[in-house]
Formats: sequence, structure tokens, C-alpha cells
Amino acid sequence: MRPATWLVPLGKWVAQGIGFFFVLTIISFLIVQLAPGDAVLSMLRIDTVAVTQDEIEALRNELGLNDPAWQQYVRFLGGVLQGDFGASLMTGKSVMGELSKAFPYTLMLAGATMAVVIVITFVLGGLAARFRGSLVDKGVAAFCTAGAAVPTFWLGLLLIDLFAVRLHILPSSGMATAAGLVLPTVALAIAIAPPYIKILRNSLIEASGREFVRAARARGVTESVIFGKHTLRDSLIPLVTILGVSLGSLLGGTVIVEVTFGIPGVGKLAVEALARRDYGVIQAFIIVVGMAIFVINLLVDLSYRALDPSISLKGAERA
Amino acid sequence: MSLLEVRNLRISTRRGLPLVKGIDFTVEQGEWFALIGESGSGKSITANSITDLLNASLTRQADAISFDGADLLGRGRQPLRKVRGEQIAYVFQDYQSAFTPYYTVSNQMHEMLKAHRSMSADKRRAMIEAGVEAVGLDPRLIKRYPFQVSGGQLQRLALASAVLLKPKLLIADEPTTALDSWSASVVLDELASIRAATGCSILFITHDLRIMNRYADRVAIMQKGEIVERGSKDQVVLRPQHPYTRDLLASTPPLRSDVQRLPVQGESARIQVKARPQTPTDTVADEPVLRAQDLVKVYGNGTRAVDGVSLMLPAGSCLGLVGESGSGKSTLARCLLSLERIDSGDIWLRDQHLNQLSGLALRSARQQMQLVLQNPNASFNERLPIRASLMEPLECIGRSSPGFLSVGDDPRKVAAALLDLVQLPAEYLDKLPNHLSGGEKQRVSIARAISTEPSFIVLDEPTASLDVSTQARVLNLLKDLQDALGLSYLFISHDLSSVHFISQHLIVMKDGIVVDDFDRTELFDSDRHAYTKQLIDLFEDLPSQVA
Repeated sequence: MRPATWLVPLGKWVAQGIGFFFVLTIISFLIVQLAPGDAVLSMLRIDTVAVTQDEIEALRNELGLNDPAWQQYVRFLGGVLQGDFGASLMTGKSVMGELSKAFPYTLMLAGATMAVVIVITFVLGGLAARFRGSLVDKGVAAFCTAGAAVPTFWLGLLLIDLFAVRLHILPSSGMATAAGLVLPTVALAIAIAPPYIKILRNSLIEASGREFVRAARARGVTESVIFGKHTLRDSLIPLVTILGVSLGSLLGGTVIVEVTFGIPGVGKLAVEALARRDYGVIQAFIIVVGMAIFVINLLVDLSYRALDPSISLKGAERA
Repeated sequence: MSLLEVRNLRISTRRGLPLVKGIDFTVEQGEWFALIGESGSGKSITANSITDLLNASLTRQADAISFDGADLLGRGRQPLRKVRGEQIAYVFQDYQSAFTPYYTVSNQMHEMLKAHRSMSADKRRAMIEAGVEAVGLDPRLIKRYPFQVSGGQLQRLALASAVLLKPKLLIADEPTTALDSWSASVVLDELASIRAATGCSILFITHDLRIMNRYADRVAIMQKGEIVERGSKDQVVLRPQHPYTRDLLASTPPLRSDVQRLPVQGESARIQVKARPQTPTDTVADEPVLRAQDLVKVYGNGTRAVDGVSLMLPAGSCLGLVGESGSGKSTLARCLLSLERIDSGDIWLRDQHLNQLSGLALRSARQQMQLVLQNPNASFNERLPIRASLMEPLECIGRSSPGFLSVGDDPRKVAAALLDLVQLPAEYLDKLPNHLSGGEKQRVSIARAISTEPSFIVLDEPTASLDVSTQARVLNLLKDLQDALGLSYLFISHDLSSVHFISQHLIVMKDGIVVDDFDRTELFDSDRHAYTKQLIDLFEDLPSQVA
């Protein structure tokens, strides 16, 4: 591969990443500037001690809130670049510390969920496509409808009731052990998997009718190679698209599941921060999760290129 | 004993709609057997059914399908797989799909050999390289992905891979239909030399009677799921018995004899128009409606798609533009219609300097030009009834009726009169496009194009996606409309015989340059360009037409 074919998209991605980063910092900076209420007031009121106007002004000056907006932004940006979002107004601990404590939980939950979703998708989607129109197909369709229709928190509560309260085989909340991961993962996977299953089923069926599949069959290629190599690859492309979307929203935290199962992930952290106007945490959340989603989209783009060589080769070299 | 014998083959949809209604045929050792038919005649599914390659939505029944003394009908999947590729190989029409786009051609040739033989990778490589060289291609070509190889070369690679294991029967299903005529002739010659070298039989499926005439030994004509005529090639071409065969033969425009209309069956009378159009711009004859001088169009990657082309379209005549795919003929058309900016040169539409117009003036100039495209399916909004699509141009320019109709201003009456001009009944107005056949849709496209009384109409391969007999009827219609309404056409095609049939003057394009430029009567002159002469050879007349 000549370097040019790889360097051009690489340079584009880096430029996009930097641009996107600045947009995120500006948005998160403006959110605080434009938010109703006064951070200083809400900070001081927690203690329910009467404060004088002088004290408020003093704190404003101390926090630099009376400087022009651009100076505040530059200071903010400088902090962000060093990974410093200041201290959480609530706990007084560093925002980055809070976030990096919560992130592993979310990451683990997201990773485990995606793994389960992929397994369910290939098993059920594959079966439904293979036995198209049969009872199996209809059963899978029913599962998809039910999975998409059931509210996640309710499913979570049912699972807790059954496995934790009645059967006592899994913990009801927390992630002290790996077992704690099982119920939230299952609840999330059942909610997320249905569109995957349907898309894989339909694209498998579509792919198996493609002309190039018939051409391979006419060459005497075995059915297992046709499926594993030709049909499956063609079906993966639409799947990867929504994979990126789901993974992004999983990383943003799935508040409902985190709250239901008492998992201290980023979703829970962000919601609590919102409720208490802990702006530093919200700003950090926007930037970190935003960049994570950018990276995921990059990976999706890369896997497109791996799956379909025509994307990076088209136009580069033609006969 | 015949190599392939098919007895009482029936194919129907799962719902029971019969598509092939009990046909019998044989393919003998070493012969070139041509199965002729138009789209929907059942010829392709007949070919696919031989080794059970039909889609799951179709069912196959037969009294016998025997190959080389063995029964193919009762065989299970596994033994049938061994037959495919090893003894019966296929080449399909859609060369883009001959190989899966996600793997290199080489990968898929190895895959095929692995499926049939256990041999080392080196031996496979040697075998593949020899096979690719045998079809006259560079073995390095197969390291590419299918989409990196040109159509003609890809079809030759598909052919090379089909004959790697020296099959006894090669089934070629319209292998050249999607190729331009030059690539097609290379593929056909390759096919003929493979047969000569290996002695294999060829079951050739086509709708092109010229190909049949040049290569086939024996012929069967299929219509609506039945074989209506069969015999030796000479017998069928020179003494056709069935009316459908005669119709097919008559549909091929001849180069040598000067016919006004193609003598196809079932055509209604010629078009009657009450009065010749008298538009204010309709002045002296011979005044060119369109003139182009030294047009150049360079694409971003440096390709000179149109490289110094000059042409002139006199009023009321047809200028034919012949060229292979990639010759720049469609780019030229887009430039003339000012859908594409030219890099240098001048275009005049009557006395307007077209390439210097912009904004409103350009918009109003565009109203004087119309375009009919190759694919009639893509030029209609499938959710709108025919009436809406047909009347859209008139609505856009705020007129109620073209001047050549005298049916008043009622839109429905105008629409019905326009359909009548292209010989379609008024009931079609409320139909949706997918209820019309390709030929009927193309007729509506033509009606739509003439509705605004344009100064000229660009017809870009208007008959290329139609069956031969439909194509003949559309060509006749275009000619009648031109006579009746004094239309000016720029007719673009790779099919020399169609262009020659309809045009008064022809230009031949190759690699963005006009290589030849002549009146229709001068086609066989000795000073024609060598490239034109090659094209004439490819479109040689059928023996029935020479007489």
C-alpha cells in the first residue's frame, strides 16, 4: 500500500478530531455561561448560612467569574488540556478523579453488553435467516418485538426479583464481583439487540440472493465457504453502522440501568451532577464522552474500510 | 448420446405461476447451442435450473435432466456441487458480480480450485496464471479487486476461471449484453477459441441475433416459457417459420439496405398530427439549432473526457453520436445540455451563446432542451401516477398545452393526447410507473420530452435497456415523431445499427475525440476511419437482410 492512500484519511481524521475537540470545549464552556442560576450562589447556599454580597463578590473574583468570557475560556481550555476540570463543587474532589472512578464501571458494562448483543445477534439472526418463514423465524421476531417493547427498568426489576430476591443466585445491585455484571448486562442486551437481530437477518437474506453468491455457487464452492466468506461479509456492513451508534450511547452511560442496579457509572454521575448543578462534572462528561464517541466513529469507519476494500481503493487505482 | 438432455422442464414460482412450460432440448458434444429469447422468456432460469442454481422462490420440475450419461435431477446437493465448475461452468451477464467485491479475483480463483482439487498453492497459482494468460490477459491483473478491473477484462477473467477445470459444458448467459460492442467482440472471440481448444460445448443464451448468426450451430427460440422454433442456425435465420422469429429478425436495423421503418409486427398506424408546429423560432430549414465549437471538458483527475469536439445539429434532423463506454459521449451530452460546465469552447443554441448564460437566462434556455435517458425505471418517481410525471415539464414552464396539439387546455385531455402520440392508451394516465413495461415507460419519457416543444432532444442510449423488438418499435416511433413534428435529435448510442437507422449524420467518438464524421449514406465509403470500420464489422447484417 502506498503511503498516500493511508496518510490522507489519517490526516483528515486528526484534523476532524482537533476540530471536534474545540467544538466540544466551546459547547461545554457556553453551557455554564448560559445556564440559568448562579454557580456561586448555589455553592454558597448549600451551607444554608447567610452570605453577604461582599462575600459573593469575593468568591466571584476568586473563581475568576468576573473576567471577560474569552479569558475564562482560555483558562478553561488550558485546564482541559491538562486534564484538569477543577474540583467537583459537591465533593470537593477533583472532577477528573470522580470521572475516572466512574468510567471503568461504564466501560465494563458497555463491553460486556456489546459482547452479549453480538452473540445473541449472530445466533438468533443467523437462525432466523437460515429458517426463514419457519417457526424459528417467527419466534425470533416475537422476541425482538418483546425486547424492544419492554421498558429496561421494568425488565431489570423483574430480573432482580427473580434471580436475586427469589433464587438468590445473583446479587441485586452493585458491581463488587463479576456476578453483579450479569443482570444489568442481560437487561441492556435484551433492550439493544432486537434491531441488530432484524438487520442481520434481513441482510443475510438479501446477501444470499446476490449475484456474486450465485456465481460462487456456480463455481462449485462449498455452502459453508459461501456462507462464512461471501454472504456473511456482505451482511456485516449495515450491522457495523448501528454498532457504532449503540456503543456510543452505552459509553454515555445508561442511566436507567445504572440507577436500577446501583452501578456507580458515568451515567449516574452525570445525572447527579445535573441535579446539583455541578458544572465541572458536566463539562468533563461532555468532553470525555464526546471524544470517546468520536473515537468509536473512527473505529467504525476503519472497520468499514476493512470490510469493504472498495471504500479505500475506489478511485485510487483503476484499470 | 447428447451431452446435455433436458426433457419436459417446468419452472414456476412458489405461488404456482408457470415461467417455463415444459421445454425439451439437447446440447450435443462440442456444439454451440444458442437459446434465444427476450427478457421474461424464461431462458436464464432455464440455464440456472440445469445445476439447480435457481432462487428459493422458484421451483423446478422435469422428466429428465441428464448430463454426460448421468442424472442431474435426482442428485443431492453435494454431488451437484462437484458438477458445478468442474463439468458445467457458468458465465453470467452481470460481470460486476462474477466475483465477490470483497476479495481479489485471485483469491476467488484459488477458492474455486480448492473446492474441487487438493493441490499445493504453487500448483494452483501456476494453473491460474496459465488460464489467465490463455484469455490474453496479464496474470498480475488478478491481484486486483473486481471493481478495479474494467468490464471487458473482468468478463474475460470470469471466463478464464470458468474454464480452469476444462468443463465439458460452458453455459454463457448473456455474457456480452452488459459490455460495449468492442469488449463484447473480444469476449466472444475468446469464447470461440476456448471451444476450439478444449472441444467443450457451449449453451449460449442471448437476445442478440447477430451473435447467434455469427457463432451458433443450432438454435432454439424461446417465447413466454416455451420453445417456439428450433433448428440449425441457417434454417432459422434464412427460413424462419414462427411469426415471433420473423419479428425478431425484422427488429435488427440493417446497415446495408436503406429501410424507412423496421417491419415489426403489431404496430398501430403511423402518427397523425393535425398541424406542423409553427413556433416563432421555427425559421429557415438547415439553420442549426445547436452548434458546438472545440468543446473541452477535463475532470479533476486530469482525464480529458471531451477533448476538442465540434458538432452541428441542423433543425429537424437527427445527429447520431456513436461511441463505446468511456468515449466521453455522455459527458459531451451533459455539456451540451449545460448540466456540466465546459472548460473551454463555445456552445450556441440557435443564436444564444449557451455557455455564457447564467441564472434566469440559462434556465429559460434549458427549457428548450430535453433529455431522454437510458434507464426508464430511474426517470420516473415510482409513487406518482404517469399523468403527474408526464405533465410536470409543462407545469414547470407554466404552459397548458404544446402548440402542436389542438385539444384545448384541459390537462387531462392534453395528457391523453400526448400519450396518444406515443401510441399509449389514455388509461395509462392513472397507472403507476411499475405497472408499465420498460418500452412503455420509455414511450412516456419521449412524450414528456416533446411536450415542451424543445429545440432539440438528447436521446442518451434510449433503447439500450429494451428488448430488440421493443427497441425496433421505439426507433420507429422516434422516426415517426420526427417526421410529424419536425423534431431535432441528438441520438447517442454504442449500437451503430440503431444510430445509423435513425440519423442523417453520424459522428464517432473515441477517447474524447471525434474520430469520424460523415453522412449516413457515406457509411461504407473507403475513407472511413479504421475504428468506424471495426464497428461496421461488429454490426454486420444478418444474411436474411442482405438479400
